[in-house]
Amino acid sequence: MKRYWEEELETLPRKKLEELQAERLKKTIAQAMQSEHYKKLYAEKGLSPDSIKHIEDIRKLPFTTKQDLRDNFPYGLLSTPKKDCVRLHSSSGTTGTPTVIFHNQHDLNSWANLVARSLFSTGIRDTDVFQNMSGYGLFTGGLGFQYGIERLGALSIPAAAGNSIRQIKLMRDYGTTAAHAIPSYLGYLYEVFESEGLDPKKDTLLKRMIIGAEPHTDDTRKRIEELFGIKAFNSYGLSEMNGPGVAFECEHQTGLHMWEDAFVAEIVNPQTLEPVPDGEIGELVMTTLDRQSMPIIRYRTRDLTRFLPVECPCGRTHRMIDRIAGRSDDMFIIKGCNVFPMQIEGVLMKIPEVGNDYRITLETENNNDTITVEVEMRKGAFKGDLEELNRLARRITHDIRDEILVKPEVKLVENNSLPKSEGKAVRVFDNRIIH
Amino acid sequence: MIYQVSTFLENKPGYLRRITTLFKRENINIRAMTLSATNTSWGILSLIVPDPEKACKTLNDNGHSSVLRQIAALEIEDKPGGLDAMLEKLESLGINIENAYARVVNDGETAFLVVDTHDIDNAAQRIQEAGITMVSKEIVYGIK
Repeated sequence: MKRYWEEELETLPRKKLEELQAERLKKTIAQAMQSEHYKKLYAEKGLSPDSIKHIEDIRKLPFTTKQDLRDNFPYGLLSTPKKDCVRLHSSSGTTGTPTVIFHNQHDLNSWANLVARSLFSTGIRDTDVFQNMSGYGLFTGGLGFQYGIERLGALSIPAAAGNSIRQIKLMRDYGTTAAHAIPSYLGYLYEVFESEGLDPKKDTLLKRMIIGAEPHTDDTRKRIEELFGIKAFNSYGLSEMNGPGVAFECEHQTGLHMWEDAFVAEIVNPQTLEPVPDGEIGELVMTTLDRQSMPIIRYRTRDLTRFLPVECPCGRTHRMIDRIAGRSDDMFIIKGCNVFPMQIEGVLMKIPEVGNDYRITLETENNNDTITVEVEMRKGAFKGDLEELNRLARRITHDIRDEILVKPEVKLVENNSLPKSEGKAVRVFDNRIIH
Repeated sequence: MIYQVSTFLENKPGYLRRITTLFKRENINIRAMTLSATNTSWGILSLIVPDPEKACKTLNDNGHSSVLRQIAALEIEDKPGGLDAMLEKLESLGINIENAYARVVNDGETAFLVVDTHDIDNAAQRIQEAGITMVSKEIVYGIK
């Protein structure tokens, strides 16, 4: 039986894989130098494909930042004629210049293949019915998964995001066995199942779900697995590196395999920009190795993760990264302490009485920074006892303080009462007065 | 057994009214109520209604976490000293009240005291043995 989507590439010995990377990096540099941005930048620094002898020579190359993409909006990084491009994906750009990525047919084929490879590694096969509950359109989670599901040969249901009643109906009508959604939506979807008097464990054929696009803890994953009676696989991607299909958990769920024949991944200290030792958390820096229209070299993703210094029983030789520990931009500083929202989520999801959502608000009171955490209670956690609620609030306060070293004000709120977003959940509201 | 409905309530303007509006729509009469809060963020609303099970389900269906809690309803005289006499008896039985509230009965002579305490079964038995009159479910719920 077939164990891999592309056995040779997925199990290539490390040395060979690195040689392939170096060779592809040289090509990528040559291709990138067709763009205005890289042509000028590399000419100034005297860099060329010949600067690369070994993959580690990638460190000689300058970083690319989101600001570079904005400064070169829209065509400054285009490395093939516009006529050659067949699709663009873009960020919404509601907060400034959008980030736009162009693809030619080769790029789309290569991307669809990576998504198919990823899905295959989780155990999804062409016999599956795959419901994609992701926004379609400019967001890459829609079309990105769509083409990958089709490449794999599974039956795709392009359900798109939202309309939970319809999602459930689709699942039941067509016997959905696999699905993709963002984790914060799945907590909500479960509530809808319940309010319809349905239990996804009994009333659907779901076996596997792909979750990603927003950082989440392992406890959140376990909750989703319990609620739906499925296995949930973590997926990592970003539109600058196509979208989904960059790094993916295989059926062993030991970490996310980074597809190193298509990307070079580095993890650096965000301050010094020097590589961190394996196992240490830093900022992920990514390079495309198989993209023609818009190669991007050493892109600072702002995502924090680490290389897992272990081998996966699946036999794939591509290195694994850990689940995303947060974004270097999401970090906030309160009373001199650096806090990542994921730390707070980590504490909350360990407490059984806590529901699926929370909200962090930072405010200034009498020239003092305060942090308030509103916590939804899990359905059925309320037993009518005031003292029990107080104990719960004290426990949450204590545990968060232990984790972030600042004492929060904890407010318990009704199950499902915090505003839900169908896109990435916004959980930190910083209303502080800047001095 | 007599039940009150206890509802988790966030302490924000308009939140109590959400419940009264819901009850108006669902035609649920409130016979007696009390609000308890120990901090500024949330509290518990306790209600005596004619059909506690239905009210509890209505509340839960509309997103208000609610539970039924067994209580004891003790008859007291509707005159000065009536409550004091009852509390004296409870004190002598060593029963500590977690929450209590009263309602006058329409006969103009009696009232009842709703008592919520830990280990209500045990407490109710001791109250009964001490000869305190427990008010019937019909009177508490206002159903005849």
